[in-house]
Amino acid sequence: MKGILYIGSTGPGSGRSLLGWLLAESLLRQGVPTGFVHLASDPEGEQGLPGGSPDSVLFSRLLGEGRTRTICPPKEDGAPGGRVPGLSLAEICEDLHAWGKHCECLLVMGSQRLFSDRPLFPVSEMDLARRLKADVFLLDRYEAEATSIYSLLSIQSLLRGLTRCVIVNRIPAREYDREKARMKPLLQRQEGTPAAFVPEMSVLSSLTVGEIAQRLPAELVAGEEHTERRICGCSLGTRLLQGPLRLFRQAYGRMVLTGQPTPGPSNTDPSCEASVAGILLPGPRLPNPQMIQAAGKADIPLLATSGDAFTTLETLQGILGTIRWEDRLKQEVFSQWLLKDLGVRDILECVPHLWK
Amino acid sequence: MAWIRAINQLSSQEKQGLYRLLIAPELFGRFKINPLTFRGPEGAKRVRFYCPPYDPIALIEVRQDPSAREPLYSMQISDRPDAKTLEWDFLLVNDPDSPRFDIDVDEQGRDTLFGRANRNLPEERKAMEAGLFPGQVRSGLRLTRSTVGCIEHFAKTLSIQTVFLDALFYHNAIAYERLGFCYFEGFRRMKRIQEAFQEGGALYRRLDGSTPFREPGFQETIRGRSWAIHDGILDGLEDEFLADGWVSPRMYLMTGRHGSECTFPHART
Repeated sequence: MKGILYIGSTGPGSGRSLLGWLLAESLLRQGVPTGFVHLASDPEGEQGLPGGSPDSVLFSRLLGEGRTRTICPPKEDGAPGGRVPGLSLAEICEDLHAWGKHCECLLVMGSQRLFSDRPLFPVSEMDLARRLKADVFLLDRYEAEATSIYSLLSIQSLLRGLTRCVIVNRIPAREYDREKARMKPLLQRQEGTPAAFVPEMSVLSSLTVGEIAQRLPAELVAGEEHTERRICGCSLGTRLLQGPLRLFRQAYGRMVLTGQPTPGPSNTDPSCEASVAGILLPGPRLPNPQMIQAAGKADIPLLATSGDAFTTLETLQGILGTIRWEDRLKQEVFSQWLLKDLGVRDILECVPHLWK
Repeated sequence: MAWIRAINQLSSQEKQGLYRLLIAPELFGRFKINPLTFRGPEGAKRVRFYCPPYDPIALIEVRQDPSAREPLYSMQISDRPDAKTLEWDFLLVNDPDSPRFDIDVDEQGRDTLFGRANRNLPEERKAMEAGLFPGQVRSGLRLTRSTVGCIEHFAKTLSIQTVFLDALFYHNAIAYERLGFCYFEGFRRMKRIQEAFQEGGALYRRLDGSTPFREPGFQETIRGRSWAIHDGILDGLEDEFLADGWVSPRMYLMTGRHGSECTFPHART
């Protein structure tokens, strides 16, 4: 095997799937047969989905059937249901090498939080990456400068020279230049690792109203002119429902679809500053005329779906938080920005032994 | 960082452990739900939690049957701007064995927002005659006191000093004041309602039997008053405090220091 590329992340929403997609395509372009392994912390959640997790579906399509798999490390003693039998660190390494023997490269996607993903305990991802002698691509979802810097520096130290690229993703656009100027020298000073900085872009972290209506599915009851409006998240909270939208506070299970956060005093509290970009009503009840009128007054779209509130919420979170084959535009935008910021033509330039 | 957002960033196990405090304990025994696994005797999940890491809210829902039309217990809490206060967004309790009244939808199946946006009068009348309060689709399980105890315990555990809520209906406000909540906004309106329901008062005179929800004698009970107010008995009243009709009072509970405000002395249910 030529090598193992390990995608590590300091937290959820850091762009693991987008980076994995970019790496997989680059390897395929180089003619390197590649396998994809997802270290999943929740076997029920990952494997119970029809067709597997969204990442499994995506990478199967990219790399071919039989080239992807999910590994669930054992749970710690005392977890619900007791200790779940699973593979130890050494067994995972052996298993990966054996499974990947027909591939020239393995792409391993780690858990959401490399540092301390509790459900992955007692298998340490840091130990795993070291034992595999993997080339690590480290992703961070920006929350605050200090958090990003110290998390990344700590992980780089613990990985003992295995980091090949550090990517700080989702930096608020208005802070981008300042944060990049502050962080880049610090991150590169430690090991000379290339570092890239990607701003928060609505096209990467959102879906349009029309896409949400299609994927749930939901009916667009009011505000058809807003089908292209971008939705970044959803909330059950009532604080955002002000003015004519106060009416919706009484609607059981209604979801507030949020748009881009508006500038505010705190960067780390995005949902508090999010704007209402739409309302989604779950359940069998149809919207009443007052609701439609209120949505019109607030100039937002109103969607209705027959699913119950919890199922709809889970589906919506899944839709908003995962990358699918149809999201190629997101992959292209992310890749372009990343390569430009790294100053390379191909992401594999970060791993010279895989780069022809 | 405020509490709910902080809790929501813990593992599922940890946050569900904390939010379990918000489930009235009677429910576990009565509906044979394992409080550790949240599953019923047949193994199906009966309790669901919605508490994602980036949302400052927690919704807890208990169902007798996963396919039931409505939960038997549903509670939502959310953060306020500071860590010392908490917002109690709503509580729904339904006795699944009691008859259902479709007061939540009109004849076309459209949401009535529990009768506050539009009304299904035939169903509301049947609900009232069956002893329900406005906004109820089924009888409750007499869990309000227990639930307030749960939320107070949860708040004390986290050193939260004050719990805020909006009392949607008149009977909710009376129930909460009896359980130690005070009025942050709306106390004078509630006092004025009490005065106007006294013999000869403006509201007393309007209990003229003109609708099934305005029968004479309704002034004597919490339920009667609540139905009359829900029916719009305050509308068009020339009164300094009641001119805007019914406005949900804003209430708060100081943990460990209950208030004793009373806007309906000697009330009967």
